[in-house]
Amino acid sequence: MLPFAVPSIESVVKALGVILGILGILLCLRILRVRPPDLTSARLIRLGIVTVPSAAFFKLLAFAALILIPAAAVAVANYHVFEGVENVEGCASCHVMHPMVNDMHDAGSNTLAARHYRRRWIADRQCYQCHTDYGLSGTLNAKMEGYRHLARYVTRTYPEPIRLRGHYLNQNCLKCHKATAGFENVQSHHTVWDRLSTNQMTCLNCHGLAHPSPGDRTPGSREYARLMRAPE
Amino acid sequence: MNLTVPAAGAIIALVITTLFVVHPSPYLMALFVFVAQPLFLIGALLYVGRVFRELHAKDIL
Amino acid sequence: MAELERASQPEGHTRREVLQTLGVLGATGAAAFGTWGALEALVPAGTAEAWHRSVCRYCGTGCTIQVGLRGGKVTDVRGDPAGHNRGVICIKGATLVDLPVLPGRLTRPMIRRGDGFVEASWDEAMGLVGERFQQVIASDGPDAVAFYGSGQLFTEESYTANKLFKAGIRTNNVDGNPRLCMTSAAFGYVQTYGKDEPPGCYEDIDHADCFFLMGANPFDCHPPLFERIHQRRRSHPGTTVICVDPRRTGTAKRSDIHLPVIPGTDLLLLNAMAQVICEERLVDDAFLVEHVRFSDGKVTVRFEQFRRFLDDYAPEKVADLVGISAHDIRRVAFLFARSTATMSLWTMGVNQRAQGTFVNNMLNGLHLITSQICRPGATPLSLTGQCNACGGVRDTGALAHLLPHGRLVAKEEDRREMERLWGVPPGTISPRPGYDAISLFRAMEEGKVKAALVMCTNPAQSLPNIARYREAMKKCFLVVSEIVPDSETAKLAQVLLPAALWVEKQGVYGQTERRYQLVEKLLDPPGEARSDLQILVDLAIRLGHGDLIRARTAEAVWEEYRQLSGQSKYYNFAGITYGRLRTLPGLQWPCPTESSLGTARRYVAGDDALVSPGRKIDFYGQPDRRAVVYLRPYQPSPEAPTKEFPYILTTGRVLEQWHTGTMTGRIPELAKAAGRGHFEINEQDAYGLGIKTGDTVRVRSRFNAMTGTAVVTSGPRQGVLFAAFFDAAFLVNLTVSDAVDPISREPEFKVTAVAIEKASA
Repeated sequence: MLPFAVPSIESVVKALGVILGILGILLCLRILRVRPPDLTSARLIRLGIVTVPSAAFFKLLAFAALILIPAAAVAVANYHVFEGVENVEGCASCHVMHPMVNDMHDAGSNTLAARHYRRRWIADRQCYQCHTDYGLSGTLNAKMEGYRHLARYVTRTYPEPIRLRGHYLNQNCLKCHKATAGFENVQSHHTVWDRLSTNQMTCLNCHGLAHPSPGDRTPGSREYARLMRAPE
Repeated sequence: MNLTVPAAGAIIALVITTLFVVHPSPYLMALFVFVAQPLFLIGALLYVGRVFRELHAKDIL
Repeated sequence: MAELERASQPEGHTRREVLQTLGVLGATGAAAFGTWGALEALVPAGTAEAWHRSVCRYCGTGCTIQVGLRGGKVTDVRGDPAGHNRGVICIKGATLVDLPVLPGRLTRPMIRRGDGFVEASWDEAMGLVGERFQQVIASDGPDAVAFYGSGQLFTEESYTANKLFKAGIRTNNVDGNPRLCMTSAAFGYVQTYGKDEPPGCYEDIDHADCFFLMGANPFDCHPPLFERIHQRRRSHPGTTVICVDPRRTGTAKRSDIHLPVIPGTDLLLLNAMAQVICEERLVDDAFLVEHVRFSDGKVTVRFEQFRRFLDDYAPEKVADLVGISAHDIRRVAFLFARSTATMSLWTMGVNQRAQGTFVNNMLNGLHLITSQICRPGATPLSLTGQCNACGGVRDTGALAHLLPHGRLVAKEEDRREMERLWGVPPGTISPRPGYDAISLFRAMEEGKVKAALVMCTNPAQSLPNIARYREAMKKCFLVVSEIVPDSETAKLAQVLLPAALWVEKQGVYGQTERRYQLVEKLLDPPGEARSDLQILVDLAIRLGHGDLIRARTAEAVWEEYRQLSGQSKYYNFAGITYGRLRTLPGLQWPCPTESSLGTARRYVAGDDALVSPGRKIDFYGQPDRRAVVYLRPYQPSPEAPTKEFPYILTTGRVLEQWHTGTMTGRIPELAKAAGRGHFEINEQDAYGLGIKTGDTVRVRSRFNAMTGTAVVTSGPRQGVLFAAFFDAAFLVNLTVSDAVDPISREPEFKVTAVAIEKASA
């Protein structure tokens, strides 16, 4: 046991990000105030034990302000973009996702998401576990789709109800289910294995809705109001 | 070397980034991804461009 | 930090800086939108370019599907999330992509020459057909020709055939394969409620807490419905599933109580349950008083008589005959009566029986005496076998004794009404009901029916006792509309007509729960194949009935038929237009107006617009508005086991194959999964007979004998063999009894007494 509370990664990220941001802003402001004449001279600046020409100092400053700190800040901020979005809360931050998230948490729902959640078959980051595609290029696709969703969402150029574009890859299911006895014992999985493994046929055909149907997620539909509320 | 423009851009980008890091909402994320990141990149490129220009003027590169 | 001198800027920003700033802004904007644009363009392609709502081609679940097209080809099929099936389909539905490219399609008409066929043009083929029909009608009268249709034809097609033959040619010899699967259920409903078709719907599954599955194996044969039952159990622990089936099927294995009854005896079970319900005061007296009438089939009787009738069926008296325990009978009776909502689901095991109508009566009766009806989750739901037996054949009246919308050939006022509605002179429709399926093929045998048009079905493989009726078909001028040239029936044809399949033509399908859905034409049929409607219209014109059959496209026929339904008080679906069917995932009739959303539960106020005002429940199909519970005495099957034939053969289906396999047999994965037809023999019986899996066995009935491979299993109960009929190389129907229910005329596929022996190598 440590004598102090261990901070969460989120807090570290936020703290680091703020420090970098403020430092960067200060350095940039410093650069803004520098005028060309100041740089040409052989004026020297003392930094502790080192003495450098002012021109060199300015360039170092600029390097820090325009390359180093931005790179660090981008890296830190991208924690949210890459890791933060893997959390269910990240998905839930967009209101169009509320029906999916609320339904997943609904103990009375029979969608695949709800069932997996209720039975604790996926420990955490449930959305991400099913929505990350298997393999590097698959993951790249998922990321690109993520950026596209972001652009659509903030510009409000999405239709409601939202629908998955492209393809939901069966590998998302198979990566957990393939090795299980339950899967292997079903004759039909073997019957059409070629089609399942190459995504010509979706697992969802027999296993039903993963999330509330587009109809239910249409604003004004009978179920819409209920789905937009968190379940009791 | 005049770095006013890239520095100004970097300031804007840093402001966005700092806000985003503290409160990662979709709108701030979009601003970060689509505005701040390009601004950083452009700022960096402008800086590198100016460095090269100076070195070239001194016949180093 | 170091100190720096500040120098002031001469004036504001230099022009260069302004330009640079604009440049940066522009570049940022370009980067932002450029990235977004690239992301939009780089979106991974799906499996299809455009999606169209449609209906599965196969079973009576009638799943709503989405068909994906790309480049004019069907590239994907998914369940429709907006459909009643909520995106769920089964493996057959998931392989529908293969239907439009099925190998070996018939693409040109063929005319028999000797033992083979020669290709012909449509004009030649239809000319011959028209000529022969006219000859036969002229020499032997209209009743010498017949139409044998299918629960897989579109409603528009069955309706047109019915009209052409009954009001044009003037014979009531219009029947079809629903006679082999649903007529017991149809008669059961009509006798009980006065009207055919179930009172409830699939949505009741979401509310039931006791499922009574009888003579049905939805796990294999209506998989999305089983999935829905399973969903109900998941969200509602404590839901009980009772399965009555001689075999330990996939459904039975997943049920809470499995009653492996001896085939043919389950009317005893239902009567015994009724006896328990009456004796243990589980009857809903108030409901009986208000909504039920008891009848012995001839006259109304009182409840006391019903009770006394049931004394002979006390569980202890019948348990041994049924092959289960009295304890179990009492238990399921209690659960049936006392569950909050009990739903029965049944299919061929109940219908394909010599007492099929009676068993249907009693199933409905159990719901009525316990008032497990007309409430969400409480209902008797007969599951339909085919995609369009309800909408296409039962509702259009395309059976030998029916006219559209529940009217009867035998009732003069119904004939007059139909003649008026069809615009034909009074007396046009013959007063004589036509030949039902088995009678039809017997009439061919006797030379009474000399020409017949067979569409979208394969009786040479699917009838019982097929050897007899194959010979009969050879005597007849058989015109067969089929998708392949080598189905068992096609091989017996005189004229073979290439038919369009599934989305190669357009029309309406009506499934189990009275839901009508539209199949739109998405592709052209191969070669010269045509829709069955086009063939019927062609025939009508050639036979001189062009003014009777004026509606020549699917949409026009639907319009006519829809308007006709508006003239019927209880079958009214005038509100179901093609326009609405194109935008909605089907509509359940009754649906009298275009603003009506259809009827989920019939006979219930609030749901059913036809319920009289002031009544909460109204069985309006009966003159006294009461549903009828019948006293139905049990009779052993004509095929009860004997010394010579000590075992019972029962036939059925497997998950991967549809009916006679003309479609699914040509999809490699499905064919491989189902394997070849074989006999499933109970392991105890196999041991006694010295039979192992893989042995060739000879199975012999009173009707015929055949050999086949044995598979030893714990599935069928002792004394019972099971075989599916999808394999044309394993024609199990050779041995199957053609005894029929005297009321519904449906054959008893489920009970044939047989002898088994190991065949010498």
